[in-house]
Amino acid sequence: MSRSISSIAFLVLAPLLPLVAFAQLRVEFPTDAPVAVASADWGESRISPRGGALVLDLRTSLSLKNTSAQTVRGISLLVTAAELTAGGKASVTVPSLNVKPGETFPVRIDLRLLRPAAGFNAPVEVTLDGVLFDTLAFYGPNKLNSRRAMLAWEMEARRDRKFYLDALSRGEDTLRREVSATIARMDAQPRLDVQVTRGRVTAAEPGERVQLAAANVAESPIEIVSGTAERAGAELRLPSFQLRNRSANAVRFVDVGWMSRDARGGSFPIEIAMGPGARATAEQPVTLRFADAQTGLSAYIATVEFGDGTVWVPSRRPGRVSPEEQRLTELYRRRGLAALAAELRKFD
Amino acid sequence: MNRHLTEQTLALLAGGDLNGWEGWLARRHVRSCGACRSAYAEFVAVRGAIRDSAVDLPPGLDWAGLSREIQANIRVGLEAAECVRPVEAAPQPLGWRAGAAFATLTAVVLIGWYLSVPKFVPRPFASVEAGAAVVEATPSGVELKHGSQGFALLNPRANRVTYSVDTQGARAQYVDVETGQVTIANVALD
Repeated sequence: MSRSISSIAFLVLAPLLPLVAFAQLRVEFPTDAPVAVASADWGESRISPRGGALVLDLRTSLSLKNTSAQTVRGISLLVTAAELTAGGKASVTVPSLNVKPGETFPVRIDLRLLRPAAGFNAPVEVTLDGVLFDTLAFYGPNKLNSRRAMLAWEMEARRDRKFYLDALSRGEDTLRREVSATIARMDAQPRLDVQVTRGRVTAAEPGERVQLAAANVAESPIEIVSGTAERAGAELRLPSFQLRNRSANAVRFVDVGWMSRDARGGSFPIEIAMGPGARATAEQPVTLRFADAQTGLSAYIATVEFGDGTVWVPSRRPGRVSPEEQRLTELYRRRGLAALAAELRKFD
Repeated sequence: MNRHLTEQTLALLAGGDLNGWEGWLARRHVRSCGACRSAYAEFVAVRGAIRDSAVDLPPGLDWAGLSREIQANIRVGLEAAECVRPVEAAPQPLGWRAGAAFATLTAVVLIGWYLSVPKFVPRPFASVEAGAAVVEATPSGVELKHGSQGFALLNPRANRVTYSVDTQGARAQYVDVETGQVTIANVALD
């Protein structure tokens, strides 16, 4: 019956689709924002029933203008639909930008909303969560910790561009070799296949406490002294890390990355206050469920945020490909080595 | 044979219709009898004149028009026959409004059934779950589900999408083929 209702609602709503799409998405930036909406395109949106609900695909392309006096390096847009997702949030972030004052740039937001057929109430809101400038200055409400993430991506981007520029200085063949190595690393990454369950769960199968391998690098301000988890079949439960702050600065956040033997990976973001030289234990009340039994998991420090808001990233991140590496290798694939070299020099 | 041949026998002989013994006797008599020979010659001449007049059609005769006229007459005849046929009681046809309504209802039901058939839902690569809410990374994007409601950030046109997951949610990282920009779609549980 509910399916029939949704189908009839679909038939009624289909002709009104542009109006529905417009009504379902509200884009609103603060008046003092360094970026303004120049135009918005609501094309290619569509609506279709799924079971007793309606699915709205909203394809939006925003044209944003840098109204500040600084070069924009990244932007993060916060997408909220509190009525639909009980507090869930989403963000669309575009790092590695190079937008000069007065220039415009596109940001595409492709959203799919799943709503009961009977209810079309509060719209989804798109607001500005943060803008990062080339001076590493940040603007925005930072509701989704965009500042930390964008700062880390910008640091990684500078690291990766420097790496490729150094390769270019040794000759185009060297650059081509390094880019090919990155592409091979991307191709070798297996499909992420893991389920994470938050909270302590009642385990049907008893597990054994196992040590996690700590992949520390000398430059890291945080050392993983030890790591353990309860292993039961294809599950790893309640991973715990003992950390030591090796730096002279206070630390307020550590992102501990993990990687399985078959190069699948993820991370544990840990909000933690550690003074210089301090030790702390961080237990994660989560269960990782893999497709098959895991014989070992290694942990490494992926990001550190200091008390003053600065961010540290490793000189080379193991395994995972950074957003800037992905952008530059795609540029190489599509337009060749000369275009990549020109892009690297543009940021130099 | 002293008697003269009758006109009927002479006409049959002139037309070649007198065969056998009678024909032999008649031809023998005509050869020997002047009066009968003269009468026979007249029959033959009349027959030739009739054949010649049949070959020469009337001037200005329109065969196509004649054909149309004959066909029209046949149709008129058939219709006239229909008019005089006894009338049978025909079944009462469904009104066109009722037919249109039935066709529309059928179309609505069929379209509704087709659209409500569950579509293929790709299996997630990874998920993060907390209570009733779950964030899933699927080939089409990163989706947050909460009961029968939810929303997803979809991957637009991209050659390669890299997914990552942590305890807060999931991310899809891709390069938009149109803009060349790397974009990170992040969906968090809270």
